[in-house]
Amino acid sequence: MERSVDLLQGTLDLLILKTLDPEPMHGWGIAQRIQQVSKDVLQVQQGSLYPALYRLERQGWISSEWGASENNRRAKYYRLTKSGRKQLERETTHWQRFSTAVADILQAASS
Amino acid sequence: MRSLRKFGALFHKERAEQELDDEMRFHLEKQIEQNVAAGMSAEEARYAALRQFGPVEAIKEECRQNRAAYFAETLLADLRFGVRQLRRNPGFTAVAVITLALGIGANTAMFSVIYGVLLRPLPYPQPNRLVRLTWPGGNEDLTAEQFKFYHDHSPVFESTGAYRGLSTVKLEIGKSVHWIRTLPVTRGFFPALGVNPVMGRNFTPDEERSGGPEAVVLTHELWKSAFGSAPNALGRQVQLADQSFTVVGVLPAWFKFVDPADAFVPLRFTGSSADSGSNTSAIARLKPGVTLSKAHAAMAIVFKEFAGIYGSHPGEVGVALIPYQTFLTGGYRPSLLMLFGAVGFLLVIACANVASLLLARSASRQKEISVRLALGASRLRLLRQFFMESILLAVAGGGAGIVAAFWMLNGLVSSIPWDLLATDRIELSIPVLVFALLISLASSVAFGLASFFQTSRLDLNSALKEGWSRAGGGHTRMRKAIVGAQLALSLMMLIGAALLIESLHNLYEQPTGFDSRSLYAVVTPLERSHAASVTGVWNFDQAVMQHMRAVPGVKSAAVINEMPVASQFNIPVQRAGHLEDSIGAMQFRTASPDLFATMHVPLLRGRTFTEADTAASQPVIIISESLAREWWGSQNPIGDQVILGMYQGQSFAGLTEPPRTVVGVVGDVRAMGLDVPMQPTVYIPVTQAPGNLMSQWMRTAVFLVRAVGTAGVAAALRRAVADVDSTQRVTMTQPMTEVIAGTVSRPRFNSILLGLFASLALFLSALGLYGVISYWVTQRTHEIGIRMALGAQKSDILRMVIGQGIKLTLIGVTIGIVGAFGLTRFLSSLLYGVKPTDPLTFMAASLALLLVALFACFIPARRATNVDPMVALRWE
Repeated sequence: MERSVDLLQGTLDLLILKTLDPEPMHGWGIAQRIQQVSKDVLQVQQGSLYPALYRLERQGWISSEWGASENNRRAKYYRLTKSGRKQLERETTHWQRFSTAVADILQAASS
Repeated sequence: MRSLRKFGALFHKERAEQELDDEMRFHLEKQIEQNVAAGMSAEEARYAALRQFGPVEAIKEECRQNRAAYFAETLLADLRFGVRQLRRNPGFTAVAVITLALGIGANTAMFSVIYGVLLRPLPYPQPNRLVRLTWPGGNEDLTAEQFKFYHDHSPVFESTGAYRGLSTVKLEIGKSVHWIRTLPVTRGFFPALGVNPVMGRNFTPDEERSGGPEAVVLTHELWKSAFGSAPNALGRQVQLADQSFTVVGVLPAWFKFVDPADAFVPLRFTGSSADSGSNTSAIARLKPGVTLSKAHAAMAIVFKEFAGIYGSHPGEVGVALIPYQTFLTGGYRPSLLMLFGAVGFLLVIACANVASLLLARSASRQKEISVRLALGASRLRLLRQFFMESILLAVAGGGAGIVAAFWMLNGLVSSIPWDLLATDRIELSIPVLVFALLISLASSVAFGLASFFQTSRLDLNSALKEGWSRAGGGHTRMRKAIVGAQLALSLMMLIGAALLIESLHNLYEQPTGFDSRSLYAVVTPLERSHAASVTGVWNFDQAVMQHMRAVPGVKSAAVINEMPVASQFNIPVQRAGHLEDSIGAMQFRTASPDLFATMHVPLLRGRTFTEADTAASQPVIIISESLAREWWGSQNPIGDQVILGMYQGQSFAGLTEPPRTVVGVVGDVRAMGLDVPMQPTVYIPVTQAPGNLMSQWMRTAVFLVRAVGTAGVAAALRRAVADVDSTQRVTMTQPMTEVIAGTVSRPRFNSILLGLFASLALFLSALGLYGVISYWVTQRTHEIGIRMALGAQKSDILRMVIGQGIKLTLIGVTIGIVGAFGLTRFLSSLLYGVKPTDPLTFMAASLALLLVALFACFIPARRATNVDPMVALRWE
């Protein structure tokens, strides 16, 4: 647990959108995927995940439908919509510019 | 599309809930699976999963909030919750709704009147171009000369019209007889008001000429009622006051004039005495684009031309143009605005009561609220719920208020003592309903705010720990402030009402100059057959008086031409040989010999009239005390002479009268209106009345009868007239006291209504005070128990509780007095014989408020003294 980092405000949305980019997924899967890909650095709390999913759905960036899960149980799958994909691009660019800027400042400060 | 989905979601709320549950459960099961895979037992895995997941309900709530239909869903829930809350407390709900209905109803009814008569434009085309021409130096009306000159020479008017007073005449169509009111008008009258006959035509110049053909224009209503809406009514010959008239036009149904005329006849300027006096009312329609100030400037020039030709009288300053609506409403505007202000206060007080009730209730719900807050309800959501309750209350109160307004309006309109242009324009129209809605919402915000402060200040921990009894301190302070404000407003209204009632009393106390008790008045507009000559009039008068004297209980009977106190008639009069002793508007009366004896008017000098004063004998006159003082000072006027119809040596009104010898001086009698000072008056015998005045003006006989044993006297007097001539109409038979009361109907209307509103306000405030003190006592049951256990007497407790209430009342009284000092000056035009800041009235009203407050506090104080110390100590 000490290795996990708190998510920055707003980055959870970006991570959810990015995770859903290749294929539709249910809430549990999204949380697992983020944890795996980040090598357990990022842990998503349920208390943030589900409200975020509902929020993104209301904004029309993702849509949901019920389907069968791996072991044939009913699960709610989320899918990236067209406008969600555009939003993902926007936020990705935004994030990259932001992180580059932060990195630049950190380097300048240490030299 | 999105809103459609939102709407759908609203109806599929249960499914959405189910899905939310399923989703959470799925997640948990996955977690358990993972935990089991990691080697935990089933029990352990489940427990760990729940811990890892976090507070399920809070997460679900957050999800719900992020759902699209959240707002609408919760609004409905709040609405249902609010309805449930209100239904659970029917007593509270009923009191709140009734209180609000009273306030909103009174305001809506009053606003209907204000809107109908003050705000809504007059029912004529382009009413803002209508003006009334008045003569600022004299009374409101013009002389015929002035009117004709302005009519012919003004460059700013599109049309100018004149009219005179209404008269009630007999209309005969073949065999059928109707009594109708006719108004003489000039040809310009209809175009000035912007109305054209829907059938037939306006009058022609020929019909306006003296001796021209007689024509009559009917209102739509008369055409319907008397002619059965027959199209061939046009051109019909009818008898109007025994003269033949031709029906030439019918007016549209919408047309109404402020004088309630049934038909219009041509106004002819013939150089009569009516023409030379200022008796001609003039209205005009401004040309398009002409402003009032431009018109004023133009008319000032026209007046100079007029004065250059005809000369001007002292005090004449030109022509004043008054917007017609302002002119019509000027008489009652201050009263209506005053009453509107009063009902506004009443609504504030009513809202304050409801707010106070809500506060008391939210205090008792504090624990519930704290629990809900602790469980994660947002303050915003709670607030919305309170506002929802307030809005529900306001809507219920507003609905009931509109129903109440409908009732009140009927009573209000029928008791309005002013001539309104059209009372049917006073109704619950759309703007009035919008107003009712707005004030309902405003009141819900007002008392919703109270709950707002209440909840936003709530300290969760102390409320949960200590229970509601001690956490209620803030709310008690607020309720006290509300009650203080209520008491202050009530006092202002009480003071206003007291001032008006005092004015009314002062008016009643004004000496009339005669004894009105057991005096009856019988009014008869004389039929043409009697009014043809002075002899005819006198023969009729004598015959009627003879029949009246035969009625059991009648002591004496007399006749006069105008109703004392209630109507007047004046002509110019001059003292013979003294140009400076001239009065242009001298009160003039014709009297039978026993008039003064019947009225109990004291004879101060000389003699009254006798049967010996006839048309053939010496012309005589009796003068009033004030005239004797004004013209003769301390000298004896008996034997001196005065001339009727003479002003500063100039003869007026076509009267060529011989000088009349003063034979008596009588006490002053009030002419018209109790608020008008005594006016100099002259009396002549009916037998000596100038013939041309008689035929033009004195068409009414007012019989005054002194009688004892009142039962049936009025009917018997009416019969006495019928016995003389069964076709002779009697328009009024009334005790003189009622006639006098009728002259103060306006101040009485004001004081009754304001008195009513003030009493209601006082009642509501007393209720508010009672509520607060009761609550205060309940809160301190414990403390009171301890005090009593320690030896406090019942009187100590009584004093303590009442002291609380009185302290509050005194604060209210202080604020109220200060407020009243600022406000009562707006009443000054409605007051008579009392200053707006009369200290005695202020004191009396404050004392009345204190007494009521004392009573309101006494009930809970009594209850406090009955507290059983043992029970009180165990309480909580």
